[in-house]
Amino acid sequence: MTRRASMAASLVGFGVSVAAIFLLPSVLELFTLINATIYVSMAILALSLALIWGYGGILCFGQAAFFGLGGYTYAVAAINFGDSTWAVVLAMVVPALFAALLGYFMFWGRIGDVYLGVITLTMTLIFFKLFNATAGDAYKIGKAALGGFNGIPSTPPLNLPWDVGSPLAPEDIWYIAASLLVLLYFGSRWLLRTSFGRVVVSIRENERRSELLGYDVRRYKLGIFTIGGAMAGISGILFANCVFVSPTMFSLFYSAQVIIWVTVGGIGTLLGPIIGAIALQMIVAKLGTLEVIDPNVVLGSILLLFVLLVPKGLLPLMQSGFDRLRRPKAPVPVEPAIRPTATPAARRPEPVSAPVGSAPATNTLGGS
Amino acid sequence: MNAPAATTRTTRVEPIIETRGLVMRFGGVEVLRGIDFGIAPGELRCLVGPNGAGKSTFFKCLTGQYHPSGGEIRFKDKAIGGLPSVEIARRGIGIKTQVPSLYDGLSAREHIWLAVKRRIANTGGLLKEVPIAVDEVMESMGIAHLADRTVGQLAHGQRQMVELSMVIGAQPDLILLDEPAAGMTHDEVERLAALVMRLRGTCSLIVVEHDMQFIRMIARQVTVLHQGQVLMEDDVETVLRDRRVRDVYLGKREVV
Repeated sequence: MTRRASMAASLVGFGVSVAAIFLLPSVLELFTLINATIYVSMAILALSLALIWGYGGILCFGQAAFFGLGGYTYAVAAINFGDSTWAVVLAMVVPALFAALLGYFMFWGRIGDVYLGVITLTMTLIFFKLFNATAGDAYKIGKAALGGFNGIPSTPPLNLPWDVGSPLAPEDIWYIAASLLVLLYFGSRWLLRTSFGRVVVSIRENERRSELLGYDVRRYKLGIFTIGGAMAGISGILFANCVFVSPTMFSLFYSAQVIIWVTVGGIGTLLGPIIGAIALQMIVAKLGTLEVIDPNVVLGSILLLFVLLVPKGLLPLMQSGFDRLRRPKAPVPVEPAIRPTATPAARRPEPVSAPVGSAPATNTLGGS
Repeated sequence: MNAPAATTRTTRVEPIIETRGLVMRFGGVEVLRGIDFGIAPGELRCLVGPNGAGKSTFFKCLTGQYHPSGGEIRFKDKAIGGLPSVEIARRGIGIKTQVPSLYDGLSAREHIWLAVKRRIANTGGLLKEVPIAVDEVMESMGIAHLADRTVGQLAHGQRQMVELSMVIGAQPDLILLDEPAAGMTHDEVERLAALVMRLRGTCSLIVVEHDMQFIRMIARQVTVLHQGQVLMEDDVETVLRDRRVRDVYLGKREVV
């Protein structure tokens, strides 16, 4: 029953998004369309964190690192190869490999949730410092000068595969970015329905239980973390095509923003973070042009409001409102039915370091 | 399989699990102080003892959640002491923990699916067999009506049954049950006892329990733990009549 409703909702959503993809270029001015492409590329970044954090239970504070790595890899490779085809592939592979390496040390080292956040954040800041320090001719990778704080303003646009003579226009980049967002969204939904995805979600819910059933949780966490890294890389490529790559991609600003988008949109959902990313960017951009109040203050206030009043986020709120309108007590899961309660990281039981409960009892009985 | 009562007298006959001098220390506190324990394949053994006797710690050592400070654990004739819990689980030990350990946000069916999928993947079976096997497990455990309910919203007794079904669905060779009857109603306890009796023979079981009614329903052999050591090991009536056991449980005076 709910399955059919969710199928219907998916079809409607798919239809609306396809219509939007093809209508927007004729409605919007070029400048706005490029902005929309940026929003969409950021929505992909939000989607990558939605997977890692919302479903994998891994609070990664450094999603911007994979985003930036994707962008820089793309720019450097595209400049060197002259052709963007392999640059795109590399820009997914490099962040994914880096995520795999980092994940290996974090998950095999059994790093706790809090430290995982600290490590990923620190890593992002290290990249920020590192790329800021690359001004001057000494810092060149092949033909590409890294350019320090200025980044690589001459980031080449995408071209048709293996056809250097046909660079893509901003409208084409829009079509690609928006289609990728839809594709990755449905891809993520599919992923969460596979055996792999179901085990990943179980690990978020109760890591110890999955382990006692015989699942090697480290591998599953590494898997979802790597996939998230690759997805953030894709986001970086698209962003690089709309703007250009610079060390700000690694900045705390992006790292924090993506967490706000996911939190406001709804942890444990896929659509929520996408909506959150696009809506909040539109609000911030609008406020920026009004020049009444600092947009960051508003962004912070929105985050506070949501954490305090709507901890489940925007999408679950809208869903429950929708359900109440239709008929009482009939959940319609647009997402693969997962209950998004508090932040997964906070909900996980603390690892037991010593059996505090049993030690004193022994003492009272033994009288020792 | 073999009749439990006959073989338990001499557990030296190829025990499925055996510990020798098992020691677990936390800092200066010695929670397990040299436990020699073993059960035969297909046996059902009850493990009793007052709070703090080391029962749960013992289980955590057997399942690799704690790495023993000393001694030896052998399962199916291979040393498993200190192996990670994943590896031990894959070798065929399943546990229902004292505090129900469940996936609160997932449906009951998903729980069983996770257990069955692991088992079938482990034995090289086909993944398309999984849904059928899941339905079978839920049917036989009497939780089919809970299949689509979110486990976080179930009553305590139902949650216990879901966790139990999950453990059984994985079909381990040795099942550890840590206080399975805790918080259950009388009817539920009786159903549980019937279930445990049904399992006996298809796999080996160690049951930790405080509920003496329940122990009388299921037990033949009982091992009493006290202060991290085996106080005695005998059939259920002898154990329950024993003076020392009563003193330990009721705490009338110090027993050393």
